[in-house]
Amino acid sequence: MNKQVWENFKAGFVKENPVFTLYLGMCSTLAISTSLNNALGMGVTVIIVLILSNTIISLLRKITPPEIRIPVYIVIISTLVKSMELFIKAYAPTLNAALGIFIPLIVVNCIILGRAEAFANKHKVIESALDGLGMGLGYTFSLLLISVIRQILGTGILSLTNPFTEAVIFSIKIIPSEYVLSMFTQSVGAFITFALLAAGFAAINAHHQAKEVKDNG
Amino acid sequence: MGNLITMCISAVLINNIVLTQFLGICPFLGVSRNKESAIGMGLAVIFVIFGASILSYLLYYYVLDPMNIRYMNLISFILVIASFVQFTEMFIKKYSPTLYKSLGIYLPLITTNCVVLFVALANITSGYNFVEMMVYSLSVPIGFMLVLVIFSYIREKLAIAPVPKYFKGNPVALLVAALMAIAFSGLAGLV
Amino acid sequence: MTIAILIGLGLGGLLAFSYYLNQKTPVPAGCESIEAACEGCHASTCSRHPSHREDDKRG
Repeated sequence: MNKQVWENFKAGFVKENPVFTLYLGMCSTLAISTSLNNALGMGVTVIIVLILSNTIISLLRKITPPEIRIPVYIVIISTLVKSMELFIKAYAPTLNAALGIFIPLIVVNCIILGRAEAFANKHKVIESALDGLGMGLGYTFSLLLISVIRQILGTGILSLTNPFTEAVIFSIKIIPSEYVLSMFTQSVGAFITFALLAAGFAAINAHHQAKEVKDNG
Repeated sequence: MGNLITMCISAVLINNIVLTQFLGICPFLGVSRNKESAIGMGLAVIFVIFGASILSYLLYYYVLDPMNIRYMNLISFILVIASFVQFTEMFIKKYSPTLYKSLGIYLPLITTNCVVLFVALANITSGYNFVEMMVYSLSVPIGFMLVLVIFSYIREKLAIAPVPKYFKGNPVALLVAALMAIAFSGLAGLV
Repeated sequence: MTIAILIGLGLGGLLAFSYYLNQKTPVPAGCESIEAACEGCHASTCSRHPSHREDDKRG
C-alpha cells in the first residue's frame, strides 16, 4: 500500500511528468518560465490549488451526483484559483505583475481538472492530497527546469527574490552579457527549450521501459 | 475605424495568440494532425470565443459591475463559457448532424481552452467598448485558426518525414512552432 | 457577498443543467465512430476522452 503511494508520488516527476510526458498545462509553462521567481511562484500556487482541490473533491466524492461532476469541479477549482489570485494580488504584487493573466488561467490548466477527474473522485482524502502534492511538485520541477535554462541562457543571471518582501535572496552571474542569447527569453527560445526537454524525457522514459522489459522478461 | 483595423491585424498577426502569447498550445498540438480536424477546430473556436465573449462582457458590465462584485469575474466567466459550449453542442446535435460531424466533436475540448477564458478576461482588463470587444473577440480566434491550419499542413508532411526517434510527434512539432514563431515575430513593426 | 454566492451557485446550476441535458441528448446517427477516433490530447474534461467511455460502459 505504501509502496503504491510512493510509486504514484514518484511518477509525477519523470514517468508521468504532467508537462513533458503528458503535455498538460503547457500554456502557462511556456509563457511564464522566463525566470526562477516566476517558476517558483507559479509552481507553488499550482501545488496549493492542486492539494486543496484534490482534498475538497475527495471529501465530497460520496455526495456529488456523478452526472454533474465536472460542473461541480469547475465551481470548486475556480473559487480556489480566484482566492489565490486575490491573495497574490494583495501580498505579492511583483509576482502578480510578472505572472499577470496566467494566475486566473490556472483554472483551465488541464492538470488540476485532470487529477480531480482521474484520481480525487475515486480515492480517499489523504491519498488524493498526496497525489496533488506529487503532481504539483512534478509540475514545479518541470517549470524550474525550463526556467533555469531559459534564464541562464537568456540573461546570464540566475536570481531569486522573495515575492513578499522584495528582498533578493541570491543573484549569480553565470554567463557574461556579451554571450547571452536573448532569444531564450522570447517565444522562440521557449518552444526550442521545451522541444529539446520533451525529446530528452521521451528518451529517458523509453530507456526505463526497455530496462523494465529486460528485467521482467 | 483605423483603430479597429489596427487591433485586428495586431491580434491576428503581430500578437498572435499561439505564437506570441503562448495560449491554446494544448489544442494546437493535439488537433493539428490533419487538415480537416484543424479547420473544424478553428471554426468551432471562432464561434465559441465570439459568443462566449459577448455573453461574458454583458454579464460583467450589466450584472457584476453594478452590483460591485467584480471579483466574481473569473468564476462567472468560466461558468458562462462552459454553459455556452454545452448549449451549443446540444443545439448542433439536434439540428445539424453535418455540422456536428465537422466541428461538434471539438466543442467540449474548447471549454478548457486557455484562449477562450483569456479573451473573456482581456476584454475587461483592456477596457474595450462593445465594438472593440467584438472585433477583438473575432480577430484572436481567426489568428488561432490561421496558425492551426498552417501548422496542420506542415504536420501532415512531417508525419512521413524521417524524424529522429525521440523527436517524433510533439517535440519536432514544437521545433516547427519555434520556426513559425520566428517568422511571425518578423511582422512586429507592421503597425 | 450573498449576491455573489447566489450568482455563483446560479451559474453553476445553469452549467450543471446544460451539462446534464447535453449528456442526455443522443449523438446524431452516423457520428458515433468519430468519438472513438478522436485522440486529441489529455484534457480529461472533454467528454470524448477515453476515461469517460469506460465509465459509461460500466454503469
